[in-house]
Amino acid sequence: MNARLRELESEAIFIIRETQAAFKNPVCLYSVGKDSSVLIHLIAKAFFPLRPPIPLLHIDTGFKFPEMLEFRDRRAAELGFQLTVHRNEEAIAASMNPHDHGIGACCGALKTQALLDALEQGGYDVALGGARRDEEASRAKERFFSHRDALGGWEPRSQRPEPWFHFNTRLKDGESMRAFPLSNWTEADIWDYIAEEGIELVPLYFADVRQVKRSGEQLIPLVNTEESGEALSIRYRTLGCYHCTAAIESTASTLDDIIAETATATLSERSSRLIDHGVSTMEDKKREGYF
Amino acid sequence: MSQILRIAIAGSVDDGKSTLLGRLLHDTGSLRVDQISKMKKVGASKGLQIDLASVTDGLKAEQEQGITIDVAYRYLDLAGRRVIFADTPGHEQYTRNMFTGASSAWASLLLVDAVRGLRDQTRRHSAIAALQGHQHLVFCINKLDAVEYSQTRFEELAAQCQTLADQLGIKQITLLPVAALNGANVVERHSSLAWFKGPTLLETLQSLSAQATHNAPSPISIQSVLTEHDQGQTQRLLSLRFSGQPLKVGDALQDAHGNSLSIKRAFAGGQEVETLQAGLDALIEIDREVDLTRGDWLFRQPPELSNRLDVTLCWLGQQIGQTRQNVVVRHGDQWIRGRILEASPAIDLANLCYHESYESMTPNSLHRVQIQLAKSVPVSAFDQDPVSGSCILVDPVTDQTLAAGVINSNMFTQEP
Repeated sequence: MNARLRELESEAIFIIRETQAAFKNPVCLYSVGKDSSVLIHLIAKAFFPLRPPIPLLHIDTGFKFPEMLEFRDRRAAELGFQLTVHRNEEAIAASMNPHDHGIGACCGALKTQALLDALEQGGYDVALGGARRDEEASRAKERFFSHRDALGGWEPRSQRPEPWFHFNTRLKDGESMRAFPLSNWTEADIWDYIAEEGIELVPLYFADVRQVKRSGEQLIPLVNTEESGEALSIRYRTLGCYHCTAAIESTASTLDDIIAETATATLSERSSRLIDHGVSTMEDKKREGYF
Repeated sequence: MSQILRIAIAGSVDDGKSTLLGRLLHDTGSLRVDQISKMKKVGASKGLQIDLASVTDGLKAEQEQGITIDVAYRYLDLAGRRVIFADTPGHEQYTRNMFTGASSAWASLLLVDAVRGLRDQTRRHSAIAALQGHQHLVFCINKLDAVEYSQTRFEELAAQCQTLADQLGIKQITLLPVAALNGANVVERHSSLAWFKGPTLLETLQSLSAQATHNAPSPISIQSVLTEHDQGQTQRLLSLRFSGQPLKVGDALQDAHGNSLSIKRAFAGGQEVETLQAGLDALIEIDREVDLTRGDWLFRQPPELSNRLDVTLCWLGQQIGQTRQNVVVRHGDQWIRGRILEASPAIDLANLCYHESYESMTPNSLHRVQIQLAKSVPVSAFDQDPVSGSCILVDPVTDQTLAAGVINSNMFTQEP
C-alpha cells in the first residue's frame, strides 16, 4: 500500500476506535455505497483480530436499488456485523415520493426523520458515517466529530475545536455526535483503496447496459416501473435512491477503467445527486439532522 | 510522520486566503467544470468574472457575508504528492477555527496584504503556527497588483515578516510576492514581477520537505482496551497512540506503577506485524494481566510524572477565563480534573513577549498558565512529543472547549 493510503487508513482507524472508546452506544450508518463499503472494511480492520463491536444501521427509503438490498444483507453477514434496517413506514405507507412532494420533503421524511427516529430508538449516542470533505462544500467544513443538538441538528457556526486529535467528545443528555473517519479521503483515494484491498462493491458502480430515461441532462434509472426508456451502457458514480440518482454514460466495467475515468472526469462526483442542487442545500439538510 | 503535505492558510481578514486557494486550485487544473461554472455564477452576481473564494466558502452565512467562518479542507495532487489545505478564517472571533485548522497542518501559508501590511492577526496567526510547531512558514505578500508590483513595498514587508519569524524562532521561511486575483507568481510567473528571482508559490509547495520526525522513546497513550470473550477465553488488546521510536514485539514496557510487561503480539492496519511505527493505529496484546484502562500510559523508560502543567495556550472559549477556574483537561486519552493557577500573563502580539501578569484570559489571546491536575501525568515538551506535550481544556459544566495548549513551550521567553 502506498504511503498516502496507509496514512489515511491509520487516521480512519484511529477515529473508528475513538468512536468506540469515547461513547456509550455507537452505530455505523451503512448506506451500501462505495464509501460506506470502505468504512465497514476499515471497521473490521480497526478491531482485527477481534470481531467488529459496532453494529450497522441502514436507512431504507423504499427507493433503494434491489441490488443494494441483496448486497447489504450478504456483506454485513460476511464481515460479521450485526445489521438493523429502519424505514419510516408511516411515510412509505402514505406514498411519500420526490415527484409529488418534492425532493426536500421526501428526503426529510424518508432519510432525515427515519435516521433521527432510528438513532433515538436504538439509543445511539454516536453514528459513524462515510462522508468526505471532498464531496461537497458544506461537508468540507465538517469536523471528524460533528456535534448534534438534542434535535439532531448541526450548527456549523459553533463547531468544537479539534487540535491534535484531542477530541471533545462530551455530550449532554439527548445530544449526539456524528463521526467521519473518511474526512480526508478523496474520491480517487476511495477507488485506489478499493482496488488495493479488493473490496467488493454493488455491481451498479460498474458499467453495464441498463434501462434509463433522459430528463434534461440527467440519465434517470428505471427501477420498479412499467415505463420504458432506452438501453444504454451506464454506471453510477454515487448511489442513493433510484428516483434521485442519475447515471453516467460509461463503459468503465473494471476498477482500472473507473480509476482512469475518475481521474479525467470533467464533472464533480455529486453532480449526479439531485439532492445537492435544489433550493434546499446539503447544509440546510444537515442543520435539520441529515448526515 | 506525515507523507501528506498538510498546510494551513492563515492571515488577517480580507488578505485573500480563500482567493489564493481558489486561484491555486484553478490554475493547477484541479477544479471540475461544474465547480468552475458555479464560481463564475457567484462571481457574476458580484460583478466579477469569477469568484475564486467561493470554492471554499461553502456555508450560506459565509457566501452571504463574503467571509470565512470555519476552516474548509481542500485536496490537491502535486506531481504525485497529496496536499491537504486547511483554509482558515481571518476574523479574530473565529480564532478557535483557525487553531483547529492549523493543528492539522505542519506548515503554513501566511498572507499579508501588500496595501495594509502586517496586522495583529498576521502576528497572532504566525504565533499560533509557531506554537504548534510548524516547521515552515511561507509568507505570501498578496495583492501586489494593488501596489503596482512595487519591489520596494515587497522588500519592506518581507523584512518585517523576516523579523517576525526571527522573533518566533522559525528558521525555515519563504517570502513570496503574489497577486491571487490575477494569479501572478501563484502557478505562473508574471511580467510585472520580473524583478523577483525566487520561486512561484507552486514551486515552493513542491519543494517543501517532508515533516520532521521525532526519535525519542516517548510515552505511549492507551486509547482503548478492547476485549472479546469467546468459549471461556478472553482476548484483551490495547490500542495505542505514540510518537517517536517504533515499538517491536518483545519490547519491555512499564506502567505508571512500575509494573513490567512486554508486547506479545502487535497489529496495525488489520494485520499482525512485528514492528509498530509511531502513529495512530497500533494495537498490542501484552504478556500479562495488568490493570490498564483508557487513558493510562505505558513507558519505555522510567517516566517523569507531574501533577502540574506549564501550558502556553490559546483561549478558545467565548467567555473570559478566570484564574482559579475549574476545568477538565484532556491530556493523551484521559480526562482529568484541573484548576488554572494564578499566573497567566497574556502575550503581547505587537512585541511577541509577555505582558505583566493578567488575572483573566480573554477570548482568542495567547497566555502561559500553570494548571494543577487531580493526578500525575507524563509531561513532555510539545516539540519532543506532541502526544504527551499537548492538551485541551473543557468547561466541566457547559462542555465548551475553553483552550488548547502546548506544554513546556520555550516560546515567548523574553520579558518585555
